[in-house]
Amino acid sequence: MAKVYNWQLGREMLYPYEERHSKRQFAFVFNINRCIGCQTCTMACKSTWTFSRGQEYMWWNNVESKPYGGYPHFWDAKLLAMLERANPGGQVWNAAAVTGNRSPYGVFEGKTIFDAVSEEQNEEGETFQETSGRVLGYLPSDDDWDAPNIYEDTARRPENLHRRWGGEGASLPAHQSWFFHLQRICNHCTYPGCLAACPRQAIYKRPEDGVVLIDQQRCRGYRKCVEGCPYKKSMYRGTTRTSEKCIACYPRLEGKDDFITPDGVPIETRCMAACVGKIRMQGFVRIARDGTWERDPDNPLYYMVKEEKIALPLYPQFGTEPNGYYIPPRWVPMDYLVQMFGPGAAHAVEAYVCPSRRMLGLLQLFRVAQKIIARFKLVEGKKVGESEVSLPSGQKKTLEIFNDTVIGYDTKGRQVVQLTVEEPLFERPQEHYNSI
Amino acid sequence: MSKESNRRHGRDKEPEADDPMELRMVPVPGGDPVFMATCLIEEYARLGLDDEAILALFRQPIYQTHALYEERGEAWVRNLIRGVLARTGRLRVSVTVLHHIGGGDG
Repeated sequence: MAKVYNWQLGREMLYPYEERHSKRQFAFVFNINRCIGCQTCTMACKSTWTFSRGQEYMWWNNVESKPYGGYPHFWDAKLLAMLERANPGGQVWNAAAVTGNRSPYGVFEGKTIFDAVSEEQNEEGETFQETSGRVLGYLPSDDDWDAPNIYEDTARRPENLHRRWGGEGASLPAHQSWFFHLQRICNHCTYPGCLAACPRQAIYKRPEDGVVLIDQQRCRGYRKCVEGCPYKKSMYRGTTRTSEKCIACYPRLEGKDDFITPDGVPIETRCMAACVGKIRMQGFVRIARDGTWERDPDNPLYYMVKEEKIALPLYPQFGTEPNGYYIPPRWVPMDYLVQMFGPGAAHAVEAYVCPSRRMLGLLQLFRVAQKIIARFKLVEGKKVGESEVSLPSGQKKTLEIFNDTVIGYDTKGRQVVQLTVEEPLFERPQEHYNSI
Repeated sequence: MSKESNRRHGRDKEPEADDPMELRMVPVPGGDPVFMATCLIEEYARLGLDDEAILALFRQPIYQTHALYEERGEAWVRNLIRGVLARTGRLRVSVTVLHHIGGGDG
């Protein structure tokens, strides 16, 4: 295996192919805090790409409810357990070793799915590398692909259910539950597990935008990509005997189709364009020769991931350098967030709870236009209000609101949309209606 | 010892990960549903929703905060929303989509 540099881990790691990078990379940010799990994105994708025979269980975009659910079931818990078995007690971060752009979250000292193939053993003492392949993973069973998100997000049984079933028998205590919705599409990873696992070299990364695709002509349906993708976003189709995956709606990204993009600029993918909760933003980032992101602070994605460090990769410890980033949910216990998003979680939550002036403006730009917003600018206005916010650490801070205007530009540098933050509106509580 | 006392009831058995009938929703240590509800109210206040619109989300059985709505009742939820909005206000944002926007289907 070759050695490649993974900036999300802050170190080199093993990978079956030499390090190469696309000129720019398709990437996206999801703000988990605002998702209501309406599944509009899921159905937008389904009705566009996976409505045919043999694709019934395929959900290239799915929204699952954590910590209880997942699709396929327990996909992350299973892989985390495999990695723990391969490297007991060693899957840890050195969060103190932060060195700028090359290791913004510190250094991951554990084993990735590529490092661990020579460690994980079966009952006969054979390593995973000897028996299966180049990437640590597993093939989900048919049951695992069953029933995406059914009952995962049911906060409580219906009020009248007890009576309907006769009103007899033991009554169980109600759990005090919290959960959040995790939106998932293919991460179009820099070091894709699916690509590494494919024995046919049927999977490739486009040099122009880093989108990961499966060549349907070359694919023979061995399902090594299904096994090797840690996020389980490559799926087998029995009717064609090939595997399929999210294609990042590339006809929309290319901006070349007169019908889809008459302005000739990239527009958002279907799942993004359909989001009613305004939680999604996507675009492209420029990639430097060493694989890090070129400095571009006016690019919304660069600004959130690199400048503010408010959006984090999903399970970076898997080692594929995913290009999907998440603003972590701020009500979730920090241990859980660190496991899922790495050691940058505490900073990300604080930076989100009390956002900078520029960040507050940028948050308004999420999902306001069809076109991909390549650049944004903040025009400062006067202060119009403030409120007190509590950080997870318990510290109190003052969030200042300004009458700022944020402007989004498309890839041709034309203004797409303009938003102005106005004075916050306070409604007088009923008990104080006459207290002037 | 009687047969009855030897029998292990379902409630005494440890959950097994490979049991397809296993309950999926179990508590995870930590976390606070009221704090979750407070955060979500703030989120939607930042998006400009008013108290009635936010309350509607609590009424939905599939929404995170519905358990609180059922357990503590609408008056308690209204009070919580009112308290958060009194502290944070609602952010008002005016949006201008420029005229040459075009294309797309969504």
